[in-house]
Amino acid sequence: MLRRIALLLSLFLLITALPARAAETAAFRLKDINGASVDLADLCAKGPVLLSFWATYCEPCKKEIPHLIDLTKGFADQHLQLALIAVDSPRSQKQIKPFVNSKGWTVPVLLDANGQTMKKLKGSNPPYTLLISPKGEVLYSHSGYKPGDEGALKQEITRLLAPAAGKEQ
Amino acid sequence: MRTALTLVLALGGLAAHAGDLSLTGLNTLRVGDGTVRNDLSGEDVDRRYAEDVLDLTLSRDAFRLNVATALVWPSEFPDAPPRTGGDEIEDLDLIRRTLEWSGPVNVQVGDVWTTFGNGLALSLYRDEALVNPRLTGNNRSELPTFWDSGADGALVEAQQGDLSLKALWGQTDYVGHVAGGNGEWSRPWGSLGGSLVRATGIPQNDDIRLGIQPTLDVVTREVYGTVRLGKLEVSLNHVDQHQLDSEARNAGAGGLATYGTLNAPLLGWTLFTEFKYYRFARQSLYFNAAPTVQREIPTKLIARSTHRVFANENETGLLLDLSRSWEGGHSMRFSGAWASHIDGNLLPRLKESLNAYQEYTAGWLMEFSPERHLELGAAYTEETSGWVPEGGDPVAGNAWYRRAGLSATLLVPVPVLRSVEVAGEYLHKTERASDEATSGVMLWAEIFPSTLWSLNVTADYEEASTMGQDWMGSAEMRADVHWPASVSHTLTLFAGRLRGGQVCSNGNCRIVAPFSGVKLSLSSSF
Repeated sequence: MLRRIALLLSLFLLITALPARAAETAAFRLKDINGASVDLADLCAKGPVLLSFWATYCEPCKKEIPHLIDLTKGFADQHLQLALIAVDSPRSQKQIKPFVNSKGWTVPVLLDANGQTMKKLKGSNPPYTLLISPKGEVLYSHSGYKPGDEGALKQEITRLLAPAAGKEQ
Repeated sequence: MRTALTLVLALGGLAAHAGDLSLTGLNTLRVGDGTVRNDLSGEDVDRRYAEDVLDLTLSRDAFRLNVATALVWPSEFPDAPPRTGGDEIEDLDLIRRTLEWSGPVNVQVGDVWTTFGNGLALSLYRDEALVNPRLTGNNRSELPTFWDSGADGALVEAQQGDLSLKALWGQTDYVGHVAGGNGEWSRPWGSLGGSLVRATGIPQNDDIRLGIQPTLDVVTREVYGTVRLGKLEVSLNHVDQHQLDSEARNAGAGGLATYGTLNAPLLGWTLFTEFKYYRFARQSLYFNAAPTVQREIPTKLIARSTHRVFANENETGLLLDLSRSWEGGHSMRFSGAWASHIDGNLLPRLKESLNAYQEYTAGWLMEFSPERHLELGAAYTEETSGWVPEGGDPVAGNAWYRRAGLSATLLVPVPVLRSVEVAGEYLHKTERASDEATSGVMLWAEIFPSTLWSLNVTADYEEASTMGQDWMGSAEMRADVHWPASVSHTLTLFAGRLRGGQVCSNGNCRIVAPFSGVKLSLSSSF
């Protein structure tokens, strides 16, 4: 009984500490589908980054990505970049590049076998979308995709990037 | 163990308040009440479960501690969870823990997962499910998948320029001791890599309870390379495996594996070809997760007809895939895959005695606008279900199945409901030995009234010529709630009857028993 009380008390301490914590920072280095090593810090040096964790077997992901590509183009003035991160298992990793080629996607596509980086960034399943500030801070995250979510995401990005753009000016 | 866990959580909570540590986590609560059908007895067995998995990460500077705990009253699958050596989780358990340091090199100690190359020589794959029921469980319709083949040990990774190195040492549940290294050199024109892995222990299929001594002392060597020229890419991977201990029961056992891919543009289309030739002894090592060389069919009903991946260890296979997208969002895809056991043949032979499998799929997506699309699909497969030993009887205990399926999905905007997706699939299955024919229809609709929630209603009907009629119906509601700003919750509620069968995700398939009842899942990230 004492152990359970201690456990519950510990969980309470953890959960109640959450709203007060500072913005989480993201950092990783992954290979892209052409074998090149890509560091998130290098992407952030060019501006904010929209990360989308997806997989070739994930139907909602495939529906969402064309919207993300269009959405990113609308924020070209803020230098917003899109990076797709495939979490396919090593068993199906070789199928990623032909899939991307067939779709004609030209944005960076990184490989995160087994989704280990996604899990480090608090994602459980694809699609999982994150907006990263130029300082590497996670400004926004969203799990799943439903038709119409891209509209809500656009509003969030507009809201989150507006102050940053103002400060830079 | 529990005291240590409580201590970790208490320190984490206090430290988070003190602002010394960064803390993130994911909590998943699953509750269910219903029955599962035992496929041996045909009886419905009560299943009431409640389980909670807390995955917690504490970070400070270059250090990161990840712990995953399970609280079970009891588990959804009470047989054998992963990472506990087959012992059932009782009450509260620490199921995974990893300490990581990131500096010039990355060092992980505890539960570690990694992949060398394409996974032919080594793939320690993390299971996100709490459980991993084994063949010896109460319900044999829930087969093992070896999703979590992680090791308890240490992993060191380093990268300098174009060169990356990995070294691993540890103990796995399924094989025993494993140690190995991998190096890879990447350039814009391609890459070269190699691995060396040694494993000693008892293969999973040998029953430890019978007192069998370790029968495995195997060295696996691997080389692989990729050459790129624009959109053209060719890769080749070769592995050879041999037994070191000449006194062991499996003395002389060994194996080899070759895996290759070709990715090329072809008259505006993309051609992808995959080839495998796996001939591992003793059904391979269980930390391998070699490519299966088949497509994972994502549609719900037709997905049940995909090839059983546990036949992957002694098989030759070929996949041809042709796909193309057009401006405006239209895309088409055609694929064919063939596989069989190896009996002196380099390419697959469509003989029942060789566990032959063939599949053909076609898909056509028509996107008329972001809110309106139609997707059509078709699939045809033939397979000898079950395992046929080399030179064994192709009929006894096995069946030759032929399946054909059609699917259609339509997404349309609807006032007030925002958008609605309706879909239907039809599958016809024939089994030659018993002259049995089954037709199945699945219809479902999903509404998306807001960004916060969606509702899916599914009707699943199957009619068998020898087994009468069977209705399955279900409704699933999903809600995404963000509260407070730093915490996100996803709530999923399921009610109804769920047909059992093969379920595939991310290249891994498992067979689950039919379930009737209510399930609730609450996933919270913070």
